[in-house]
Amino acid sequence: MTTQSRQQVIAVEDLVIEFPGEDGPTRVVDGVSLTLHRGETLGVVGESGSGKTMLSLALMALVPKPGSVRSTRMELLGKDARALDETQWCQIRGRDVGMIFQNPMTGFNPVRTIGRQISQSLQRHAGMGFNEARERVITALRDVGIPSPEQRFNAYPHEMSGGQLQRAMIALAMINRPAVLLADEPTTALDATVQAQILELMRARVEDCGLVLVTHDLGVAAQICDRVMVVRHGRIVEAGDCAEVLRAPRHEYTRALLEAAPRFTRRRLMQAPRVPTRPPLLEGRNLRVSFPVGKRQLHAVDGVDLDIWPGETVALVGESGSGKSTTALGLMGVHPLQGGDLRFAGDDVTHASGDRLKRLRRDLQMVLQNPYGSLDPRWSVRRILTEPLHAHGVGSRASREARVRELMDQVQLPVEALDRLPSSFSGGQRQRISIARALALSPRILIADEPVSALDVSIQAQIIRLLLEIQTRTGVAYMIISHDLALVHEIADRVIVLYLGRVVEQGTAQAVISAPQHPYTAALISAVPVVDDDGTRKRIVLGGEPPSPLNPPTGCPFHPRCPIAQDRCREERPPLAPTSGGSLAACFYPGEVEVDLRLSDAADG
Amino acid sequence: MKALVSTVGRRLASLVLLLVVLTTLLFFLLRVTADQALVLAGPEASAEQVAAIRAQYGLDRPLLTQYVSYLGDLLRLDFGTSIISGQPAIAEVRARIWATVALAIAGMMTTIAISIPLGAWLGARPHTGGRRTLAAFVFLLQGTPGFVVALLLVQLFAVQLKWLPFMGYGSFATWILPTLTLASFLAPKLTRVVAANVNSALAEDHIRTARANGAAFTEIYWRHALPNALLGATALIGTQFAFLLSGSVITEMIFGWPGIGTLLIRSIQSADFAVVQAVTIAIAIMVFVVNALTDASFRLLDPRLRRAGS
Repeated sequence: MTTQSRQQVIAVEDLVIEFPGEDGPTRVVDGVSLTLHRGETLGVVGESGSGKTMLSLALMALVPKPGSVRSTRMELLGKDARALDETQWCQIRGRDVGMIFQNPMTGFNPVRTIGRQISQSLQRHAGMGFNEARERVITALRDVGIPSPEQRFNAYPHEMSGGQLQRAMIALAMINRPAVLLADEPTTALDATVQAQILELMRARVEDCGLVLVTHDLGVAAQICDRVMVVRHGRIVEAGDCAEVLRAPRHEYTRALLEAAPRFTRRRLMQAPRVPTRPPLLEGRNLRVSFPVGKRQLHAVDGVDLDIWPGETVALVGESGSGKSTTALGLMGVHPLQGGDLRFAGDDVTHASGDRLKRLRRDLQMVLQNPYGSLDPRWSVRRILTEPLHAHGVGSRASREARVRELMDQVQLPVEALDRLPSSFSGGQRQRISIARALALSPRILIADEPVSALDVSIQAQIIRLLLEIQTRTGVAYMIISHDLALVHEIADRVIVLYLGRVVEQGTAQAVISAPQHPYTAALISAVPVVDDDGTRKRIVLGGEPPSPLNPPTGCPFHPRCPIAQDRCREERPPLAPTSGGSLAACFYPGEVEVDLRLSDAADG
Repeated sequence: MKALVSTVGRRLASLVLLLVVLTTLLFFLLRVTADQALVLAGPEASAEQVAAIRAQYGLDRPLLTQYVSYLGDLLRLDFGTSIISGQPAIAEVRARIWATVALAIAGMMTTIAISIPLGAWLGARPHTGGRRTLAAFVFLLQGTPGFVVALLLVQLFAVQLKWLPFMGYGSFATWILPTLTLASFLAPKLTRVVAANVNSALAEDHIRTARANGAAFTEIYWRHALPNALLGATALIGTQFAFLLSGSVITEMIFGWPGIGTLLIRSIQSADFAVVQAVTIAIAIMVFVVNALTDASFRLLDPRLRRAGS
């Protein structure tokens, strides 16, 4: 694409953003220069604290107080933006520059309809009346792929899914056909399948405006960016043509990010799948968990078979709402199992309660996704780590202290940190504390629900390495719940794929990911934005979102979204059956959808 | 419509349950606190006179029998007779309840009229100049007991300036001081809640979305921040109003207000159980209705609580 011939829409030189602090001002952006042309997509890639969000806010004069912004040049559509006052900015924002934020769930006013909020921008900038704006908004909602836009116009934000809201957010940002579109982590809060849809949509809708995509995920940048700029601590460490940077990164930090980015070509950390010789530690048959919704039952987990062998790693994957977390909480006895049969080390624990449940929980522990919400902010680390020992009456005062020190050592945190509060730790360190807490009782199975997805990519790798080390040392079995199939491919022995509370495919990680038999698994794998994608990777983008478990479709529950569904799939439900690929799949036409893993030359361990 | 009927039905059922528990507890607790016959007979009475009074009022019957006959009377809406005035207890309540309800409405209206604009203004930019000082004053006022404010108001406007009557119930002037007393008690809290809500509403993600689409501060403030902030204040207004309905005893006493608050205190002191029971039941029903209306207004105001399809 010849960027020279196109209009330059942004030109910034030596941008500095500072926030006052007790020890003098902190520079969150430190001398960044950039340009952007119409029809061009610039990726701003960095981890949390890199200043990438502030950078994008500065382009709209939205840096919150008491931050200060200065630069030697800042031009927007050829005009000096530094001289603009707030009134002039109000005319520019939403008209010349549109912005898409990270979390669509909180990005709309909860007490006003989506349609009104979007029309407002047209009424404000284009001087339209409400009725005229309404027509335009409905067209725009249809263009971003929202079904029955006439009805959705009057929907409140809580009545729409995250993916739908992000589509509406894009419609809002684009409604006045701005010359510049800023997108701050536009897909981070969404499922991988929905992320693929949104990226596809953005690629198609950018047309002739310039897009700045702020992301922590090089894989996402690889999908749609022409150029990338890698930022760290407010400075640009590397910038250039996207494919070029990804192929031959010059800066060490870019290489580190690239190393941590999702891809399937990486050598699997779990070399040969461990062959189970003993009976499973945990055996679940036909497990069911349901919740009453009004007068009906929502079957969140609907007949799941699940085994965990000692010392193995099994991954539970699926979109949000597939029943992954509910299954885990069912195993832990947090949500009572309504049906099925659950055995731990041969004992029936299906309806365990009281002392038996407590006993079971010593062997089954859990690490939660968000290390910011799962540690009591007023408790010292020592108290957090002692609590499980205390609750189960393990050891004396002295032996508990020794155990706590041992745990700190195990998760590689200094013993001196025991008296500090969670707030003085970073996200990665907090997750180490969560892991230490879960290990306190020496469980035999550790359930980890998205243990790294709230962390920066480079930190993710450290935590994963830590988990593997602990497994090698203690022989604990892991059940990892994750939406990140590249990660699963790397660390899991076996994979169980859930859809609408049922197992649709299960087998060794090797088999399931390199040769998925169920079209849903293939789509999940295909939705992972890998960095090896040069734009030629063939992707299966699933239409729509999972149906409500209150109204499961007839026949195969996946058929409305399935690219290869036949008449038979609409009437009959396929059983979980062995396939030629070595895994079990609930599909009448297993292995018909192929995925492109970009494995071509790279050797897979 | 069907949903509405079932909601109202469920509410009424819980009101009946509440009243059963309340009357039962009240009946027995009152009889533990005092012996009506001794109070009626007076301190000088002989044992025979007390016994005669017991027989006359049926107080010599077993407590359970008395309870059953009390429940029976209640079902016929007979709340008993005041042993002091000889009037039906319900008549005593009816004669005074409107004074309390009207004062509660006046107090609440004044509180709202002060707190919402003030809180909204304070919350918009809480850390600038005069607002900071005013917020500190509001905070101080919240810690001041209501009767202190009442006495100061009386001292200033009734005693020194002689602009307003210091007690009584009737002309418009008699309403001013009691109303201000109630408002001075409630307004600081509501002001602070509104201010805090406005301030946190302004920090919401959707405010940033609106700004990024060119909305100016006034629009953001009126259209996005304030409606969300007031939604949260509705709950407090509901509880405050319910509190006022239970008879702001001290205010009524200070200003000689003929409401159910003073009636309740007087009846407790004179062991006039029938009136105590009638007043309490009246308060319970009013508080229940206010709470139900608060819930209903939430449903009306917050689209997230509206049921889909109803």
